Amino acid sequence: MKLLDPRLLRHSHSSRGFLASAALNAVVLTSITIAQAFLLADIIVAAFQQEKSVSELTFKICMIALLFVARASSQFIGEIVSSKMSQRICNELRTGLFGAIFKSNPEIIRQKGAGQISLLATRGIANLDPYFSRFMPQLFISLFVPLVVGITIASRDLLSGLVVLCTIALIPLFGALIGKFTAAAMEKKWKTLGLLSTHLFDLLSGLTTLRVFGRVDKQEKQIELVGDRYRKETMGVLRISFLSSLVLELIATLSVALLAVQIGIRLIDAHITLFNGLVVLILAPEVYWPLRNIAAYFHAAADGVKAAEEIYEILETPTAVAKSAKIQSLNKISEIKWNQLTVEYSTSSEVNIPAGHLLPGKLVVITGPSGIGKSTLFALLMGFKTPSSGEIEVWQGENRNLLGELDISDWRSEISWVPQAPHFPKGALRETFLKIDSKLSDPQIWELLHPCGISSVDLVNGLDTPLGDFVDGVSVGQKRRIALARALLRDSKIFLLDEPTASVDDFNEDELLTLFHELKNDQKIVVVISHRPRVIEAADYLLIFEKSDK
Amino acid sequence: MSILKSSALSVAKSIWKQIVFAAILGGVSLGMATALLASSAWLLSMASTGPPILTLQVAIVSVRFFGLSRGIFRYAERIVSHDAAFKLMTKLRVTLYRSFSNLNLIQIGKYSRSQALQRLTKGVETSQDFWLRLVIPWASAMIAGISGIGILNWLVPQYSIICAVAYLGLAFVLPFLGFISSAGALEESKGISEEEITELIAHACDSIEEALIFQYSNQLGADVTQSSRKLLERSNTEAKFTGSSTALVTIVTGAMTAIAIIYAIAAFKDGSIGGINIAVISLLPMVIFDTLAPLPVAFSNYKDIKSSVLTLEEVSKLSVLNESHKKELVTFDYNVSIKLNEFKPYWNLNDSLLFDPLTISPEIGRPLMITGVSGIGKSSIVYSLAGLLPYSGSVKINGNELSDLPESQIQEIFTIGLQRDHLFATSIFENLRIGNQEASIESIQEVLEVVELTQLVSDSTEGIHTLVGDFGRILSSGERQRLLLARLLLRKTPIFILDEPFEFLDQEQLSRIASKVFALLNDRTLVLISHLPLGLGEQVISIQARR
Repeated sequence: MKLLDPRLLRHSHSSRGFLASAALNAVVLTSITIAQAFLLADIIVAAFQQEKSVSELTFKICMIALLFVARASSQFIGEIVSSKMSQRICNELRTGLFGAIFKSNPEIIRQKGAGQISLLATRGIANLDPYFSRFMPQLFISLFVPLVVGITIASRDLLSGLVVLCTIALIPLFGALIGKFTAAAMEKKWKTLGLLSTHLFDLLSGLTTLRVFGRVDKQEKQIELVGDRYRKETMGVLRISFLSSLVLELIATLSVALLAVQIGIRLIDAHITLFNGLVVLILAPEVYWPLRNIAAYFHAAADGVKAAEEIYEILETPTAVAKSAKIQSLNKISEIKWNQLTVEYSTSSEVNIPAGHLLPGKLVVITGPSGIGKSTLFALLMGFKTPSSGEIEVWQGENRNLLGELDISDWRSEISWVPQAPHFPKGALRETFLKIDSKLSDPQIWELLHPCGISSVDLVNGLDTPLGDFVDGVSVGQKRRIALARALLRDSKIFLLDEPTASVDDFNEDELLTLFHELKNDQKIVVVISHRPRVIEAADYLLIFEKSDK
Repeated sequence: MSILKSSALSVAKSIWKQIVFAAILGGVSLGMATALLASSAWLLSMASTGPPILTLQVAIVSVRFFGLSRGIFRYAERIVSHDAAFKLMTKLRVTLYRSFSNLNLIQIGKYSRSQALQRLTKGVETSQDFWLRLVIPWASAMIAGISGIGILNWLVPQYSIICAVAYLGLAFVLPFLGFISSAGALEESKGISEEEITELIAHACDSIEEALIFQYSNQLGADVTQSSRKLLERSNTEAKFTGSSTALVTIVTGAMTAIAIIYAIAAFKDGSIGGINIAVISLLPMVIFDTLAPLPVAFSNYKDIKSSVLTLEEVSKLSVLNESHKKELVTFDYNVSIKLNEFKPYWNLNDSLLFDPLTISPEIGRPLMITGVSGIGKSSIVYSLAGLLPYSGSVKINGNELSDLPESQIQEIFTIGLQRDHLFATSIFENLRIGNQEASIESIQEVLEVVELTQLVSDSTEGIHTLVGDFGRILSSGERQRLLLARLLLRKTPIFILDEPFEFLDQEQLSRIASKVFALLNDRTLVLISHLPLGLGEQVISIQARR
């Protein structure tokens, strides 16, 4: 784990200013600290040994108060500046991250898993702020203050300087040792946390199910068990990471004690002046507290560093290079065909897809038992999956291209799709359509919905009907038909419809079949996955996926 | 403070001793630092007068002791307090989950799943920071600070009073500033919450494929970026609070140090203290006030903590399930009659469902199919019979009104198959056992046969213990549907209400499986809901849109 990653400078322009201001703050703070120690020691010695009166020391006492005011101002300004700068850096990293996810490299979502990405984009980003606004400035202070204060101590009393040097040398040693454990332990903590939230999410998704089955009580015990395991594992991690601060704390306070005793004994024989002794005593904790503080922020920082590393990794993942073979006009597509395709799934199983071909102006219906790979074929056609063997060929007259050679976003812009489980942009139903064409008017949207079997009487809230998560304003069947209307909005060449007639009644099926024919007449490539006899009947080509005998 | 009474914080009652213990450990640890400096200063001053070394022995030992014990007490405090916080989190999570499960569909419709998850994870964690990061550090500081002032009281009584006033003043002003700055911030944050952004991002990730095809993925990214930027802008007020209260602590420390020096010199002059104590008195205020130094950062989190506590409270307030007026019935066999009269579920009082009220009485052994165009509200009928939605009219179970029965009994009478039923991320076997905990291997085999999953199970490497993944990810939609059906069939209840149980099946398979289901349930009451009749001899009632 790198505390200061050079990649930060590459991905955030604000980071230079941030680092400079943190360094400046460290210098100012050190000067004030040293001045304060000298002044305090001086006043005490003057009052005690030279028996000076308050009026003789007034100036120096006022100076002490002023130094505190200066320290307060530097703290205030430092806090504001580091918070502002940290925000700026976080914004830059976040903008970069979202840009990578949603613009240049969306495939990363599927590679890493949507859950992982959203965790990174929320919690990960949130962890960055304490890392930058608290840990980083502290890091500079921790590098600078102990060094300068240590030298000052040595210049006053060489022996004390040596003690400080020895104890400080111990810190990185223990730090590295414990850091090694902590890194492994943090990994484990993240894992258990992930496990806990996955488990809770599963239980929440099944909340209604559990309730109608009367199984909520049982699951409560489960939550208790999982929570308890999480507590024990996290406490295990914390015991180790607290150990690191214990060691730091011990070194810090023991060294101060060691210095005090050693100076005290030498003072008896006047081998050292009281002034120098006091300066060392007042300054000694200043050597250690920055190191202790950095350990305190280490937790927050470790999460932040981890998040930052993941973000850098995503930012530096090479994006798919725009492919050379641009299609001038996809309207010239004369055929799409493939021989047997194989797709490997992570679960060591693979799906075999039989050969097939698609032609403009024809309705192709795919049917077959569930789990055989019908939806997988769609994913292949849209470029969301790549076959491990076999190729999809796109023909334009005599011109043949493999799907993998085409510019993927050009290709996708020619596809309309009705997924099996549609997701719509959050918000009102209207948004779903405006996202695709922002100039649509309400009557135009109704016009699209109407042939798909949705009219204003079906939706009490009309186009304001919300599309939500736990509960929707629309039924499953209506969702499919909204998805169909959305697909029809686009004048694309290829239409991939995944079970558009499931949960749709007879009355609507008629209308849908008419729609398919209209698309055919427009020379579109229409592919429908369906089990419905009437849809199968209407097919120009029927692709039957069958289980291969094992 | 009203938030102390909230369910999220009152959980702490159960382990208050551990919390007090942690605060004392913290106080002792901070006190050790004060003692270390005081004894060191005394040691140095004393030594400079050139006494015999024996007189210093006690001071030397105590300096070493204080140096050693500070870290150890601090370690103990952290372990004890974190353990307490984790215990509280688990307790709170269970109560909160219970609250969520008590909500009806209208209430739970206010939350998305990821929002609910946020509350169970981040919300719960943040709310317990109230004890871990606010109360315990504050109490520790008070313990240490007051004992430090006690030492001063013994040396310079007059000054110690000034010091106590300043210390207590700061100790109460700092939290107060935190409360004030959070009050405004809570209002501000109503614009957008972290939960909403999490949900926005999760949703964006889920719909990325559609966004890519329909080419709104750029906009998706822009939306997310913009709204999460709004959230960060809020932390400006936090920095102002932290910065100004840290500065305040420093300035008061400076003033108190200057005053301490003046008092110390004056006391030395009039002979009430020895010269060796000048150093002690001059240096003590710095360590005493240093105990307050962590509080500004701690209280800058107050706003987050408070809003977490309040959002959790919102859930538990909603879910007051009052079943006291409900009565138990005598136990049932399969011979149960159900009569619906002018029955109609509703989501809100100005009713949005489109069909006329239903009057039906399904018979045992004769499946009843309710059909109607999609979107008319068929699923609401199921929710309502499951007790998840209110209804008008009446539903009589052996002559008793459904809404008068306790929920536990409704669950024994009805098997409810929801259209969006959930497969848990566990094994096939465990998923089936959700339906019936006592199901025998034979009955499991039987239902798997009915839904034609025997082959799939025996082909899987782990057999019936194969994990199905999140939301049954490894299964196709047809397989998922059939596994859900199998889980329902395991239940031994007199009445079955199944919403679209044969979705995603091809025509042939549908007819085969449906006939087998009818045969299996021929001694029970079976109500099916679908947009299409099956044509297998079931009684069909078609609900009509009221136009």
